Amino acid sequence: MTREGHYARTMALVGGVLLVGLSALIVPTILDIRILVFLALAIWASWVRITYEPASRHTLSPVLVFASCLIIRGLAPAFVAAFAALIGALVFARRSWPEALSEMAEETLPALAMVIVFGQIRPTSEQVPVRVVAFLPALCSYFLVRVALAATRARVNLGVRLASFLDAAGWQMLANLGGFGIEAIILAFLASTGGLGYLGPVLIVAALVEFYYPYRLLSEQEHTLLTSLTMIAQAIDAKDPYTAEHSRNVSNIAVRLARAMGLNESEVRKIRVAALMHDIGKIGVRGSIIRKPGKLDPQEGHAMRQHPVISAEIMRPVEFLGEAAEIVRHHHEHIDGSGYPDGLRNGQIPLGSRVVLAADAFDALTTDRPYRKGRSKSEALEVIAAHAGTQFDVAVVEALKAIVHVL
Amino acid sequence: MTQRLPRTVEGFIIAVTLAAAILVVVLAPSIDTDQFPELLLFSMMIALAAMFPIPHARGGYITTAGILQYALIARHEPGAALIVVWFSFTIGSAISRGWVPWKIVSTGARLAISVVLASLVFRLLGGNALDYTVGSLIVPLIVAVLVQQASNNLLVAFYFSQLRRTPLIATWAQDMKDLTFSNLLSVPTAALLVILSSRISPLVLLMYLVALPLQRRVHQLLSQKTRIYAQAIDSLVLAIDANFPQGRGHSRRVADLAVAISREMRLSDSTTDSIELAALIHDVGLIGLDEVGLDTLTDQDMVRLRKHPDIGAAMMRELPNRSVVQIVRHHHERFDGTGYPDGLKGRRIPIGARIVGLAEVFDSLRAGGLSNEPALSSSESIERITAEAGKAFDPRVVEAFLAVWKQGLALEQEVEEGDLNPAQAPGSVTS
Repeated sequence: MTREGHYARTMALVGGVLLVGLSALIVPTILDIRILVFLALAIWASWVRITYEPASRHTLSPVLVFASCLIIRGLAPAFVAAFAALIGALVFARRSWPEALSEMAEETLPALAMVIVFGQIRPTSEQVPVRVVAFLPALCSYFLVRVALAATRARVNLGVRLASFLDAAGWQMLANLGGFGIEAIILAFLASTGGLGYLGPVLIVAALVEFYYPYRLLSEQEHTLLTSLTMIAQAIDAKDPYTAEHSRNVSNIAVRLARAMGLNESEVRKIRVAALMHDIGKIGVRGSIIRKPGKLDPQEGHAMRQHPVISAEIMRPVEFLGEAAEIVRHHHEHIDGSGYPDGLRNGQIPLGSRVVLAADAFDALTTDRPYRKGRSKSEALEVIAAHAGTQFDVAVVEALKAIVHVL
Repeated sequence: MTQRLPRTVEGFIIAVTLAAAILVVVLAPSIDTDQFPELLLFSMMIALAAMFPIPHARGGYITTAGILQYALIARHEPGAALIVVWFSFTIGSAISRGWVPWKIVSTGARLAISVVLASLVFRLLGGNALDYTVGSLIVPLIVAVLVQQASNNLLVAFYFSQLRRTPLIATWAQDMKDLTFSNLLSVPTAALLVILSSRISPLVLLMYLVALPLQRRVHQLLSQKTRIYAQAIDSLVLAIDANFPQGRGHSRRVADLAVAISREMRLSDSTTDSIELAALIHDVGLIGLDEVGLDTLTDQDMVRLRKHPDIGAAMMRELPNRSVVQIVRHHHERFDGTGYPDGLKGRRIPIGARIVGLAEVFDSLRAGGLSNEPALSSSESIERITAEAGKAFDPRVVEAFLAVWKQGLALEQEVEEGDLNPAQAPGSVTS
């Protein structure tokens, strides 16, 4: 079983325990109408999901979690966080139960940390300004746990190092959550200074949903773009039924390799796109050549060797794909200069191309072909290692060795 | 501007400006001088919002000045609101868009008049910015927003009806339909601004200085991403469809026609977006069918050919937009149920699939397409399509198609550019 599975299972289990525990603890206070109102508002807020690459996200509901910490005593924040996350994940994001439970754990554990710190400080007055002073350290503990969990998830599931996680997602996530903290203080102020009833909180949530809606669109956009590229790449893979998922697999392997080598996330992104698109040039090559099991005659060979060039030419003029075109053009170059199309050697070959070459080879070796069964992962690794320094970059092969057990 | 405006338009501009000026004279004496600092703050913020409009992902601009105007309506007398809006909008747009005096002054006057109307309605309904209940703040504010929008849009629609001979009521109704929802969405924010500035201090308006750049940035990113996304899909599709029987550019032409039909039928923007993407990739299931010379199709190839919508939909199954996948799957269904793969009939075929189906047949007829027939002329193709209304095609879609085609012809005559070259139909898919 992969580490990915362990992490997901652990978190789902924690989520389940929290669900049962919190439900039991909250029953005596369930008649507190404020908790129910805040929960309802938090569920509404969880409709706006903001995602970050790599693999992190939060919704708007922390605003309500923070505000309930300021206004309501006890476990209320954890309760609001847990059920809003669970319902939001199940209903709005259509996650499966285990996924929703693990999301719930990631939202609830920080809220619990916040409740505990806030309880230790015990503000002496019910006045909001006094509570705000006690609230700030509690908020910091929420941030700490939240980002730590997200970083752990990225590390365990995807092999992202802490520094590049913080660069790519962590700081941005903290900035947004910090903004939520300020908004929660305003909300608590309006809710507690009388006269407004629940109108204040309702207006704030409506305004926030409106304000953050473009962020949600932006997150979706990113996802749609990558999925569409994947679908197009797969459509071209389908010329050969034996390589149906090839582009997607190569992309996953290349991304893992790049992260294991400690490349930063913007480089990883380029490599991801390059690996996805590396074979689009085959659209112009006849299917009979692509599927041919034996040796290609010189003319066929030439057509086949043109595909990295064609792929790169298709990508180059397009803003988003263009930056990956160079990597695609050289993804069949070998370290000793025996590759094509330009016969580059060693450092002349872009690092991304060396990564894609190894990922491409690994996937090709491990999948079935009409004329042979796919090799096992360790056999494939041996084959690749035997060509380290001639075909493959030694550093890339080392990285492959390190991650082969999670592929 | 060298071109002279029609007389009625000139009259309209003068009338609007004069009306606003008269309102200033009538209403200005009632302004409380204590309010000056806050009014100045409002003016600065509205001017800023007008200076930095936010580019919208679908083209055009949105300004966030609306929220400030609504807060202004609730907190101040009609006269004060009038002067603030007219003055600040004129300053703001003059700075950002250059000085075209008549245009900017009259646009500001138009906005100011609608703000006065809204402000009067707010007061008439018993609106009170210091009593924060649904009945005395939210409901009057909602009505005021609707009045402001309706009167402003009516004036705009009138202006264009004189300038470009667009139908007055239809334009007005369309604008109302397009804008009402998003304007109502800004009511909660406006109400919050009202409450916070009464409760704490009018200085909360300065929060705008934080919110505006943030909104601008995210919208800029959004439209940038939308553009990049469209480009990427487009160029990949262009690369792919060079290998299809109808030849290079087929998918793009089908997409353009389908989008035009969808607009003509007044389908929503999101439906139109799905239709465009689906039209671009509708034949993706044909990839892999490349060996077949089209004049030598075997029975087996025909089976494969009939399966392509199915295969295409399966390839695209993970697209987050389900309706795109549905359109790809059903674009060979026919209105009378004789199509494939599911033999759906009439309205059970998704509207996008009915539109893409027609657009694709039209382009294939003109390009020669899959059949062994030679390419037809445009008028022959149109005859074929019209004859199939109610049979292969949805009569409503055919009607919209004919309307689009007429507009296209009118436009071509205008620009005298008749590049209707149908693509070459290659005998074999791979060239």
